[in-house]
Amino acid sequence: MRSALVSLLVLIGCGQPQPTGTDGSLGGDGMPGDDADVPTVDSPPNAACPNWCVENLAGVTSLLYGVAAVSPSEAFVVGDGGVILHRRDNAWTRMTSGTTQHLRGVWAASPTDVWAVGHAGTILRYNGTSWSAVTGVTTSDCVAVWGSGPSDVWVASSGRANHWNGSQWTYNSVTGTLLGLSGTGANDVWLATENGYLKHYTGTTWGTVMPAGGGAQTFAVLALPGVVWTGNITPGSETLRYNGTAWTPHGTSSTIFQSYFGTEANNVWAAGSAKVGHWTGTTWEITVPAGNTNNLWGVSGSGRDVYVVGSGGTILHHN
Amino acid sequence: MRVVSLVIAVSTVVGAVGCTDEQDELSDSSQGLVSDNRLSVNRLAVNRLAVNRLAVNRLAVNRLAVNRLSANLSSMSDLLATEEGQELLGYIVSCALPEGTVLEAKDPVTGDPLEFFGGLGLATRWLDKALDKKGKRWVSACLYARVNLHDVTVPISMRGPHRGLVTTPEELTGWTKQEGAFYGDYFRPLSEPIEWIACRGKDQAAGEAGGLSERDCAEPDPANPGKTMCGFTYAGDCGDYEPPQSARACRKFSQHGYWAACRDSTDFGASNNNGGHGSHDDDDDDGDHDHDDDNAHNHHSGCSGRATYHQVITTFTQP
Repeated sequence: MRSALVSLLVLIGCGQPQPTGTDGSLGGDGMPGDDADVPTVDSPPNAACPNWCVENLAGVTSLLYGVAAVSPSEAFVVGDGGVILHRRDNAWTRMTSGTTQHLRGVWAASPTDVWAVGHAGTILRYNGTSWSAVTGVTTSDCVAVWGSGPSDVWVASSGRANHWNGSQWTYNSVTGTLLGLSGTGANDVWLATENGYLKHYTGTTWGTVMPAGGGAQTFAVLALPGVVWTGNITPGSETLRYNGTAWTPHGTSSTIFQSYFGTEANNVWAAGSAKVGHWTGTTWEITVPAGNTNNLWGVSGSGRDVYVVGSGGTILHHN
Repeated sequence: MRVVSLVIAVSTVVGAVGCTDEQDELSDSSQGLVSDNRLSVNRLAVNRLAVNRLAVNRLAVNRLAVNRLSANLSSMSDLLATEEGQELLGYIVSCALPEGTVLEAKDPVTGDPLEFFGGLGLATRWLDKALDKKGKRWVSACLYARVNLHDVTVPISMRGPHRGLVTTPEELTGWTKQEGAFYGDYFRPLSEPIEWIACRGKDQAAGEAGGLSERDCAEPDPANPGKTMCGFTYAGDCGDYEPPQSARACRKFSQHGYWAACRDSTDFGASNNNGGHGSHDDDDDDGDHDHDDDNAHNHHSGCSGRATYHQVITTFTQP
């Protein structure tokens, strides 16, 4: 069944053999169910590219916008023209998405429950075998998706925060051009917007949060327990960190981040323009990964492995 | 941040803003806030830089509603009736009204509260009276500058002869890639085509690099001569970048770092001592710094009879 989904397969040239079997990492034949046990072991360090590996898939030059890692070695990427790419077994493959709409967001509850969203109300759900369309939610452009679990999924579309509770969809109207979604639980969900500051859902309604030192353009947002990151375009305070009490600006030498990823307060990654930022507790370390010149739009990771995607089919992998 | 709230009851037909004492007071207050905020130097996020994610087709789709909005706010309900309309309204308010001003409404379907935040303040007097010709052109230029063909959010610096677009040293040094200039009149009568014009900036003419790679609205469309990739009227190069080429669309490149006095074609002849840009005047352009009056500023050349636009926004991206 899986082979039917694969239209293009390229082995990752700089990859290493994938741990399999007893350590809980991926392996097997790729059938649904094999992926349920999410591995926690990082990919082995790669001597060929110890910092960032370029893993662009041959033949894919589309703008890649979103990435969701479900394990150190497995990730899903979405982009222009309905492109969906899947990394596992040290290889990226192009999946059959069933759409040509630009895709702008991807989120995975598990390797067998992945959501992708895009233009013209496109909402796709992957069950470990194939992607299918979720219809009847909206006809507007969808830009981001995030959930706390399979029965608590938010999809941001033009002017709406759409919510899936496992059995039905509802929505709230939210002003501003919605750009990013993140949260820590069912009652703590954040939206980044253009023209609308941050929006925060606490269980019943969405309210506006105006970070001190920031403007109405918030680009992206990352919510972690006790910490929220967002960004704007003010020099010297391109990122803003909320510790539960106050917002603190942190400069990035003018790098505007379009996406954040992190699982703990002092290990946060961000991507924007052609650069990647890494926050380890005091400052942002800004790098240009692997000589990249393309704009970078999405970042995700698992364990020590971090994936960044961007224009021109750019896929970068750090481990 | 202090917020001035102007409540617009969606269920009620509302006349032109500024027709009541209350609205007059709000307008006065908002003017004061503009000065306060400007002195805080916290302007770049909303007053000098903006991000662009406005889908180009929405301008056309929503033109009827916007056209009505300029004459009578009762038709704001048209914009509020759809998510895309609400999104466009967010851009319009962001361009027209100053930071600190909030238009509040309710979604006509869900009843959810909606907030539209001011930003640049290019047509502040719209709060008090119908949008005048100059205001229409400033808002038009702002909307056009924020259109993005790729539906991605690219940070841009918007510059022009208006106090809402004044630059800081950090902005001048951080955003150096000159994309082009945008101008025209989005609010033309419905019987006439939309007047949206762009000329190509120096760095766009030199080839895409850096932040320009996802900015195409000032780039000529080879498949559609006379148009840009976004469907705007292509006026040609803003300046004569490669002498002895003499044709250019704009009369001068201001000492403040933007194109001024532009036409819809390369109507100006060879410049003198222009360093490859256009004539570089040391005067204060047309003295248009926020004189938001009804002066059309639509001069006609004695040579060609073509309109010269002074409400021009030049855009820059990061390298």
